[in-house]
Amino acid sequence: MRALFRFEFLAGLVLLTLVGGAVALSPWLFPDSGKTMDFLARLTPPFVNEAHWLGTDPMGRDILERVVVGGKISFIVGIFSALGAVTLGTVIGLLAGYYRGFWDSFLMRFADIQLALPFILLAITVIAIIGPGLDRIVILMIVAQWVQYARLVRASVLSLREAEYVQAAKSYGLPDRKIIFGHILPNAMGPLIILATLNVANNILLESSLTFLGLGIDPLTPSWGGMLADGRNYIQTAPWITIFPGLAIMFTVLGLNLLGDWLRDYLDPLGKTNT
Amino acid sequence: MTSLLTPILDVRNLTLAFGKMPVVNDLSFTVNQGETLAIVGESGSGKSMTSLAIMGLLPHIGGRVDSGSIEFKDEGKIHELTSLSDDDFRRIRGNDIAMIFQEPMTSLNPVFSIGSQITEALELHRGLKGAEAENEAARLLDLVRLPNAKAQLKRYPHQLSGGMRQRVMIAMAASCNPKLLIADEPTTALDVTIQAQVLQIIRDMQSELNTAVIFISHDMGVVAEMADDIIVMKRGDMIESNSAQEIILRPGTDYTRQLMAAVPKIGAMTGKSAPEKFDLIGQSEQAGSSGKPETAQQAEPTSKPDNKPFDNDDSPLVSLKKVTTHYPIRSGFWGKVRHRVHAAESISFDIYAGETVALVGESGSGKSTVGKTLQQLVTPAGGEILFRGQEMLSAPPEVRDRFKREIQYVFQDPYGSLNPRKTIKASLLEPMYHHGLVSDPARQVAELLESVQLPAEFASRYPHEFSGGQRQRICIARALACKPQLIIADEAVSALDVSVQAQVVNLLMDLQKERGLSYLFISHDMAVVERISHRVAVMYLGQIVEMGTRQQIFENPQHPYTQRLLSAVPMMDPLRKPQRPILDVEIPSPIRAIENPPLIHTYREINIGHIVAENLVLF
Repeated sequence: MRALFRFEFLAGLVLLTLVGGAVALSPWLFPDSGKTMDFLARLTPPFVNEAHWLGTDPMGRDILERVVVGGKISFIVGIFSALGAVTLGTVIGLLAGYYRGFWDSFLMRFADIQLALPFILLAITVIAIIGPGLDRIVILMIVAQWVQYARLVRASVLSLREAEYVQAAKSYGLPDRKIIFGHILPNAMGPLIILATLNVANNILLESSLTFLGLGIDPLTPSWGGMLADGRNYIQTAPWITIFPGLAIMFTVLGLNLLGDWLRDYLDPLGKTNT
Repeated sequence: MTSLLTPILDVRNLTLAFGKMPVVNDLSFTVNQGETLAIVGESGSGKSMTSLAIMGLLPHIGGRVDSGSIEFKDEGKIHELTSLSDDDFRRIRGNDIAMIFQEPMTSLNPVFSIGSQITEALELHRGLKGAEAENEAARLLDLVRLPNAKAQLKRYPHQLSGGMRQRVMIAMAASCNPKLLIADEPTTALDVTIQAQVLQIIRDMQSELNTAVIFISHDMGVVAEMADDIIVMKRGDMIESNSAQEIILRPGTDYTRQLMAAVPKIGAMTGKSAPEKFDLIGQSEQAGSSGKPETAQQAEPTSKPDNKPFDNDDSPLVSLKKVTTHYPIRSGFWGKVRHRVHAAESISFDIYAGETVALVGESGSGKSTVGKTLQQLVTPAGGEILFRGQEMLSAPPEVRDRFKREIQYVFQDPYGSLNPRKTIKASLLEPMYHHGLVSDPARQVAELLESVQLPAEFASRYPHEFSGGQRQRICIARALACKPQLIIADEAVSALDVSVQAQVVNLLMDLQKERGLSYLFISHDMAVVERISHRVAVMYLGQIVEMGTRQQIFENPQHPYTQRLLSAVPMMDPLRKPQRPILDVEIPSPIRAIENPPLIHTYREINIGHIVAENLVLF
């Protein structure tokens, strides 16, 4: 029996529950959503003022409050964009790799062209067409990132479709749908999970770049990426402004990576990684 | 007699281990100059570990020498290999002791030309430079009988066939005139005719350079052809050691007898018209822990005295008529088809109920393509296939799906043909669910496993927990799950150790008798084919060159290619070491330009049911 409660699983679960739980409870914990400014306590260092446990930023906003509230945007952007891109990319990669032929060539050439476009150019174009907003950012990231998943999955499928167990499934007449989702996909999951968890972190930071360029959400709404960008000018005098949202991102990503590793191993009957 | 010989390698009380697991216990032997010592045993017997220990490569894969000594004697100097420093070892390795590996496909570096890989060894070990090194490299390729040696130097590994690559490996091993050559299963991955060539080359080289050879193999047939002395190993222990002649004529242990009995001997079936099971003595690898041994039963004379399990008056189960399958090769920007692989060309034969038809030939002869076409895994370019009188290719989808139930395929690689992420139960049930044959899953799975002599508890396990032989039984069980009428066994026993191979062949024959199955048995191994088949078709370059009953093919082969295949099979006769002429002909490529189709054979019937291609020239 593969261990359900391994260290990775427990550690990942604890980290994500802590961060995610705080974020989920933010409307009750901080009903004014991190926009209150306390001008008398600007740039308070952490652990000195009981009202601002993690300190304040140059506008006197509470760091703890903003980290917890800002998590909402970052979670939504990070997780939904990765989920969406994985789903879209995987389906396209599976179909292209399995059926080959014209659509495979067409989609992969299209993917090459898209990979050659700088992301910011793509972002400006897409946002100019569909307009800014939280959901638009997620859509933009899915559009920009499905390509890497599609290429990754397609590469696995190309070798897996020649595997004898896939040939065997064809030989006894199993329909393509069951071969693709029952035999090929489970064997192509390993690298996919790893790439997806790494991308969550990237996308949390990407959101702040987009917001910085005015392509994202309302700049006053707190988000982790936005807080990192705001704190950049104060990194030597007031490092806590960047440290705490940075830690939040780190814990989230670490938790996801641990869970991803665990999931990959859990799905692998050999019980250990063979990468 | 031994006093005249110069010992070159002296292994004493050698014990090797991986972590806490001992892999070789207390092994002692001596190798003399110019002699061949063979180490024989099944997978896991420790034979390869021994060779790696001699090469000093054991620590690389995580093993170690626990005790004992390996003394290498070089012109009066004695090197103790177990305690040699890495630097000193590097001078001996490649220089005095060289090695040939099993897998010629991966033991050459694909990004360097053959020439640069050989000259690299020459520069390193013999200090040759430039043109001098190149000439020497060409001479070495001549030594291994590679035609047109100078031109070969510029070629890259992917441009050479497996047999040619193995010859390059031998040339590299010979480049420094080693005193000792270790050949670890050097021919296991090769076709029989190529195997015969490679063995002959090793023998020639040995007599020219007076090299000592340690020859490692699981195949008693090959060993008998090569060895002066034989060591038999089983699970890390040496269980017998003697001269080759003694061991083969008078084996001292049951295990050796089992190993030898399991080697299919060509000619063993002469005069018999029906297939016959292997006569296995004792049991070597348990089929499982089922306690239902399948051996120890003497080969019972076929119960039916009539040697035809089929009657020619009946209509055949399957009938192939001029089936032709091509694989297009696209090239250029628009992917235009300019060349085609003529994998199967105008193939016609019938399979009757309860009959085994064997399709033999070497790699690339198109025999698998015929099987895959019949299984509807590839679409033929022409011809027709009748299954119980019904045309298969034009049949509606539901009929074609039914044919996929009634015809089942067993693949070669027991490690690749089961999905590693599915339990055995899930793998067995999948085709049954698809064809609506499931009524009581647990009981049906248990029955299937029992029919291939595996215990029912295996159902909940995963493929990686089983040995190759067990996995192949599971694949056979999966084929049986659909209650087929025809099973296509595509090299189904080729990847197994000989003793396991014999058991699986016997299992197939038992199942045929119980269920009246027909087999299309695709194989390159003439000796196994002689055991199992009623009729045999020999394929060469995508076409059948000869077809007839087993007796007609084996006792009266007419086509030169059939004769060549038969003569290449190793004979287990220590008194007669065959000196075969080296045939430098590699099988030509079946890739042809689209405007240049191959010549289609016409046949003449030389006896009832025995047809031979009119064109006797191998091209």
